[in-house]
Amino acid sequence: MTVRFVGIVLLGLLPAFGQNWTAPRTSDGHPSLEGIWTNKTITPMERPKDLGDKAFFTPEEAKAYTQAARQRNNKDQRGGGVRDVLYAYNDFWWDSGTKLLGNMRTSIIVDPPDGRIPPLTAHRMAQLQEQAEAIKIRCKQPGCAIANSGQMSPSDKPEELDLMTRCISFGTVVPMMPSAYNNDYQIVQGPGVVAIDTEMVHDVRRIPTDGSPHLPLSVREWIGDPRGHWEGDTLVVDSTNFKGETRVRGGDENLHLIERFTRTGPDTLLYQFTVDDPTAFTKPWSGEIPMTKTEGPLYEYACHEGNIGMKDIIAAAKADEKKAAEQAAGKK
Amino acid sequence: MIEMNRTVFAIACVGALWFAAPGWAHHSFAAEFDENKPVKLHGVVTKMEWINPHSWIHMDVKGDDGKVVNWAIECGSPNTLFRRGLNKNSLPEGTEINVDGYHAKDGENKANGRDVTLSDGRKLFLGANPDADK
Repeated sequence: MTVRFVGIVLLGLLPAFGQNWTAPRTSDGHPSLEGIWTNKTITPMERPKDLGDKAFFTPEEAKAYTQAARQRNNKDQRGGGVRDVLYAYNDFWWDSGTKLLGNMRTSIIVDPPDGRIPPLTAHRMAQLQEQAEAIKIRCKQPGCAIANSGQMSPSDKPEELDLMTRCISFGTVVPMMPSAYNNDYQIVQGPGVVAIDTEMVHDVRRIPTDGSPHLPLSVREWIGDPRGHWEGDTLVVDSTNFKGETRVRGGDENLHLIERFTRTGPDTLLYQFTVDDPTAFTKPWSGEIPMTKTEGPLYEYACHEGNIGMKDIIAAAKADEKKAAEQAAGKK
Repeated sequence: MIEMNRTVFAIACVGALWFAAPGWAHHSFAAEFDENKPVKLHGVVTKMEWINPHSWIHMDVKGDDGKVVNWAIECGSPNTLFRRGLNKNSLPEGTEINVDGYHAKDGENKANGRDVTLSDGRKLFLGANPDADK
């Protein structure tokens, strides 16, 4: 553990010591992490480049940043063309928060010290380049659609669509990162197990804390195989066995995710994570979010139930193919 | 540092940029709706479906020929709309609305609800108050 990281942990614990506060305990004597927590925030994942090495906002800067972010999220987003269809929605649609995180950091990423995700490895970059080329070639044919990224993507069948569109996972679970809405998590504990219900797509992570080992590497899970243990009052969760398609910021199946959960006050839960994926990233990277208690309940988000959009996307690709075939026939 | 081109960056970020850029729909609206076919619809609500992942407003629209056609309008996540104070009583059957959106690419009578305005000019999907803490 680096000196910096110890410093961060201590900083996170300060309010607890200051108020002489001790976390409530569950029946097995461990701190209770139970409750409904939210991580919604306007604090960016990565530090904006113009902030350089500035890790924390001053109160004045925080005020100005908050005001600018709120206005940006609420302005009329129309810009014409495909942008209108993809992005022209204001903050009524979203629930991504209106406040900076309580730690006043300029980014969720705390390591590397520049607050930015390290570059991908040459090997991973080449892999992604190859995939991109294959898509480009395929998408010279009709039947492709504009993906959420704004790029073209094949849409012949459901399996070609991304995990988000297929309602499998939204990338908000590993690591637990805020997204556009439904940024709520419910933690429940039992002897030898902690479960985290994520409102977004209703993902539940069941984390054994009974000392059992990871599954064999031949068994792969969308959100990995988590195993927990207690280090003092901190729950440490170690996850491996990911499927490559989960892709944390370009990461691959070798992702090793380490997360730490520490109660720091009656209404705060410090969440820290480290992404260690040596085949994908040139070095590990870490982030932290002081989550806050929020009013419940968690609402159901049974995404598959009414996912008409996916059917419409495939129907749109089929309509595109039909139109191209008709045009070709007309030319003959 | 290795520079990423746009396409590779997009691939790297699928399912990941999501958490950094809140202005993204769950699935790509651009894959579903046609930016070259904007529609403006005026009609009355026949049903509101509070389904995940996105809610749908159904409305009857009378065409120039007097024929009534039922349209379906895709809107935001029901959980978010509910937290914003909308509920099943907010858009009762018969409510007159104007919709500004884009037509579905597969030609069905569907559109995205970019703007939904009530007959008195009030916008249904007003942005949250920028000064409010929520």
